[in-house]
Amino acid sequence: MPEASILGGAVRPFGRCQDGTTPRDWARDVVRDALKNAGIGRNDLDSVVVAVESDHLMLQLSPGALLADEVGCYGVSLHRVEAGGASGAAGVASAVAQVKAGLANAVLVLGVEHAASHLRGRDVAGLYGLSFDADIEGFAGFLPIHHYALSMQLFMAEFNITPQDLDEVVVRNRRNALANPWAHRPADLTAGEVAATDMISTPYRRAHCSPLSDGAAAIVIASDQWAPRQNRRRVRISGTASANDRVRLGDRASPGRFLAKRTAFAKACAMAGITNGARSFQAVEVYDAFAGAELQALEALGLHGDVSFRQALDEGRLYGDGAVGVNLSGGLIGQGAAPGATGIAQILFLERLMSGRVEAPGQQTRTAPDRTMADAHGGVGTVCFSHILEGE
Amino acid sequence: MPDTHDLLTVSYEYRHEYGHLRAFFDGLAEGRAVGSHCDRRWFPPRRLCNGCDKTTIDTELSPVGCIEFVTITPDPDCQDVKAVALARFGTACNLATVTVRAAAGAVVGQRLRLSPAENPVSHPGEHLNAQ
Repeated sequence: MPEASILGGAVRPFGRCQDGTTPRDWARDVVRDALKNAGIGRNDLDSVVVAVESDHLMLQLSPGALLADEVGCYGVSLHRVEAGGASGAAGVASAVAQVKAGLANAVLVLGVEHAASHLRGRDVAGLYGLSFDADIEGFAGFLPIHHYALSMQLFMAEFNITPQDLDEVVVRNRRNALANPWAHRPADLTAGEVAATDMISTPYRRAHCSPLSDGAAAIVIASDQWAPRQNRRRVRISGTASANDRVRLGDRASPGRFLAKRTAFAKACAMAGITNGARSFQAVEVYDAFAGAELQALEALGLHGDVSFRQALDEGRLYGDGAVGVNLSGGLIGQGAAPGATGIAQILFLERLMSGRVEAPGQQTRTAPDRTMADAHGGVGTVCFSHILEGE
Repeated sequence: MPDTHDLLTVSYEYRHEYGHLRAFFDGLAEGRAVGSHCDRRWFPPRRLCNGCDKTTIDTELSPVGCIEFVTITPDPDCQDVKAVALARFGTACNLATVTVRAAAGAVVGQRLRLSPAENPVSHPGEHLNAQ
């Protein structure tokens, strides 16, 4: 079976786009830069995967065909994928599957989301509310933050998590984003400043929420057997997997835990032949749509090891010196959240970290990591994707 | 770039056929809890039980529930407080997401009752209120 490696990629910095450009412009820019970074041309591509979460946000049905046309790719196998906030990750998973199945030598994944600048905020929030159970919950006015907040209330009770723990997640991630040129919201905040922001839905304050971002990213996944040599370390995607859970929190046995995330990660580790668990990774990017979701993800991945999650937090096993680097990009809270592009940007950040092209914030003495993973989900841990990256 | 505010209005003002959820929504409008059952009881209903894999049939549960988890959402625009809760009604094995009136006092363990709709609304899901 061929190995699948990252040949190159590009990200348009996330943010609220108010410079007169549109997703078509962003798509052209990131595809041009990704192909240049990969050292190949359009004619080398066998397949294109377009990841967009919402036609409603983009105001374009069938965005796959349009965006492939916009970036000048014709005669290729073309797929559009959607998995909520994990849409970009789903695109990468599709590309890896095509390469490993021998269906393609080179696959371009293009992720785009137009979420922040052209619709009214309340319309965007309402549309995202329909991404849960629209009939029973979305039309009743329940928004994503209500579902995340309810899930977190249970997690906090079960693991003795405090509001201060949530504040510290924000401080770390926004500070990490200072070193990330793609980031939407880099900042050097204090925990007190986070705690002073408006309460939105208990336990979440405004600063605990990731921003809605416009953004685009593109990545080229290629077969090792076909890929041209490059003058940088090659990073392979050795494991890719997904798993889903019940959509409505109330139908789950443990509404506070991301059990599908645990399953996806276990499957990805099995595919990569990794038996010594999450603590054998040097860096992880996890899906912190809200501050508590980062903690829920770390618990699901088992980063606390053989002690309780609370004990691991208190003893610095999750964030202290020598711990696995968590959301060194800034995560969604710092880097931003453009669902079609987020999963791709997570993986490209890790690939740059592993190939020594960016340094982990505040950890300049650390060597480039050999093994990392990217986690993303749609819903509230409903559709989860894990990607394991390993350097040559 | 055009101002899409003037070109398109996203609207939820439509109704549709509810299929197997019709009894659930009709019950909500009257303050009744119509769920489904196989060996277990579900509210909201699930047509396919994800425990025994059987197809369920409609059943009526107690409209009285108990809050198991709650989030409080202040609304600075109207100086109001809204609460959204996961609550268990009757003997349901699952939890329903509901808006709780008198939210300032909404706490875990509080009992509540589904309330009949007071006014016509655009979608019967909006009847998912309790007090």
